[in-house]
Amino acid sequence: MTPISRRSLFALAAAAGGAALLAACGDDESESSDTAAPEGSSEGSPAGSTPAGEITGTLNLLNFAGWASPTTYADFAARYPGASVNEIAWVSADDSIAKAKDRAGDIDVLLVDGNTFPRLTALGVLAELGTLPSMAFVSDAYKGNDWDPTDTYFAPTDHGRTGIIYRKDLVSTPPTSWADFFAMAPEYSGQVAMLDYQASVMDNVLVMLGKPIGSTEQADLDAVLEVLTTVKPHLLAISTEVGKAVAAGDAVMAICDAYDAQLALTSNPDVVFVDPSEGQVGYLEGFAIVDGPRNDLARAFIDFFLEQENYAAFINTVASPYVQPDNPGIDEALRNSPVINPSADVMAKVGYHVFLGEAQATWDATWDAFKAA
Amino acid sequence: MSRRRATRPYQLRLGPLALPDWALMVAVCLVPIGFMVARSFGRVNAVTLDVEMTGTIDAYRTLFSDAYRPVLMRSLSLSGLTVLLCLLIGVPTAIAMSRLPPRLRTVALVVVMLPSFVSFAVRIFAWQGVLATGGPVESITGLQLLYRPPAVLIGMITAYVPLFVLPAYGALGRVPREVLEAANDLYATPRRQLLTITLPLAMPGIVTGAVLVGVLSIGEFIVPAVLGGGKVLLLGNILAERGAGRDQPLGGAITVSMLVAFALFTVVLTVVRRRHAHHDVGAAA
Repeated sequence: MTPISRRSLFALAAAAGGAALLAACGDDESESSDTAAPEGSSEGSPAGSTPAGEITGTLNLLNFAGWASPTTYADFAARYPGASVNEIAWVSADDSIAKAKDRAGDIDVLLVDGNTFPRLTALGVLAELGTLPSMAFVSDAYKGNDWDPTDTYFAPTDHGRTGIIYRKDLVSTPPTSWADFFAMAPEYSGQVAMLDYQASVMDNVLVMLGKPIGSTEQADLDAVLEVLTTVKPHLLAISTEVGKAVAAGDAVMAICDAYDAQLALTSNPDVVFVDPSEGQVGYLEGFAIVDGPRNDLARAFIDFFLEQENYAAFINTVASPYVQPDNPGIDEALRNSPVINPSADVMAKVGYHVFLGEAQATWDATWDAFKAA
Repeated sequence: MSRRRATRPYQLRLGPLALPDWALMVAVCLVPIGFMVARSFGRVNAVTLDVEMTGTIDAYRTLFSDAYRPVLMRSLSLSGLTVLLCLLIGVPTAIAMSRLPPRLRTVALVVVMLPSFVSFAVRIFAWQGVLATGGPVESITGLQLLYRPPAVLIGMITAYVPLFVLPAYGALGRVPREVLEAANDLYATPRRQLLTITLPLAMPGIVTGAVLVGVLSIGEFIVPAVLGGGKVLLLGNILAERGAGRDQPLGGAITVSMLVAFALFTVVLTVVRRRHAHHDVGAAA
């Protein structure tokens, strides 16, 4: 299994996305004979009851680069002769919105989280999932979310939380809280890495400051900016590859997602993941369908992806916290990892990103000010 | 007069042939730029990314606000330093190349251009390895450069020096040898030959190289993203991260500002060059 880090390599992802879009442009002739579903209805036949012969064409999937098992797409093509998957690399939440809007990116399925999903519903671009038999494998704990209470548009695929990783052989006093992390940064100046993901970082600073997650109060955001700009001179990098940097020893501690931490500690046993004592921010991700001419193909793919065997292959590849707790195919090492399967006490302190609405602009300005400083 | 009349029909026949070129230029260059200019006076909805054309100058206010000032200053200073260092490295290289025997010139040209045959992204990622902790540079010098401004500068110089050398070498190669031999016969020192003959005559190529490097380096985003560790942001990064999708008005404002800056830069250079040329002609007379 190849360790894969998502949200990786912005430039390469953008290049791959462009190449994939070009590839997608030439493939419309062979696509499904679906006609575009009426806006808002999208009541195509559910994948589970659709004969395999009708599922053809190329599915454009906006996904984190490599955020699938190495054989997922080939297996899907083998299951449905005439069907294929064209993975388009995820660049940012805004890029996803831009591509989904008016089907500008010709995207059929995209990976979204609870923060981005309401923006898609605001645009009115989503198609219903229909009845997907494999949704039965997803735990009820991850269904009925605030942003899609009836599970009409959102098929959960994975979840996670953001914490701290550090090298126990290189750090004298282990950090146990966000306050520790930021206080220790000057001591390890130039060896501290920060996750390049606005919502995770800003929300966790709010948690440290005792402010509500997703606060849009200017005073709170000013306080967040103060913390971030204070720590910036001590940062090695603001990157999506923080786990790799800590495992390699380039950084001694970092703000890091659980999946990335699991990959890092698998490659280097001196890496430790900490759930900060103040609490932390988590996320739930899943697939949504952008309404268009390939809705049935999209449903078939999501259903296939969530089938137990395929889902286990995905999780075993990316090492993410999973939404199918009873799936027997998931590796024992992942099942037993407290990073992937945290205790109830830890989960009790996990809060989730909230939809910011128009206040998103204020958050963007704060993050940009930090990165520009 | 009669001669002018005789040439006019010939020019008229050629004119329509250029129309497709002009149409293409308008379609692929001027229309998109006009679109960007218009968008720069809009306001974006942060949720849906819809741009409302309100005629506001908010995007320009944002660009020149305190938040973005460090990016502007960093972009200008790094770009300026890149041009300066490309001049310092590239001019002697181009002069040396132009004085080689013809066969060796070709070899030297291939050597200078060789890195350009490798993908730009691959070269920059290779530098990441060279500058990384435990990499050759740190092992030899003890300096940790990766993810710091010097790493970005190194990446930009190595990327753009070949682009500078090419036009400079082309211009230096066209300096007539007879003129230099005449200067030599008149006992002009090598330094005087360089300053009063070689460099002035090659100035158009050197300026072209400098403008090329300046334009490309100020909009650079791969080098700072990879070698700057995401914390040494330049205007190109803001364009890529915000302007391209999330905030088209800001993207438009950055594009317009860069266009205006380069237009002014080019006008100033052109004026200086013309004055220099007139001065040379006057001095020669």
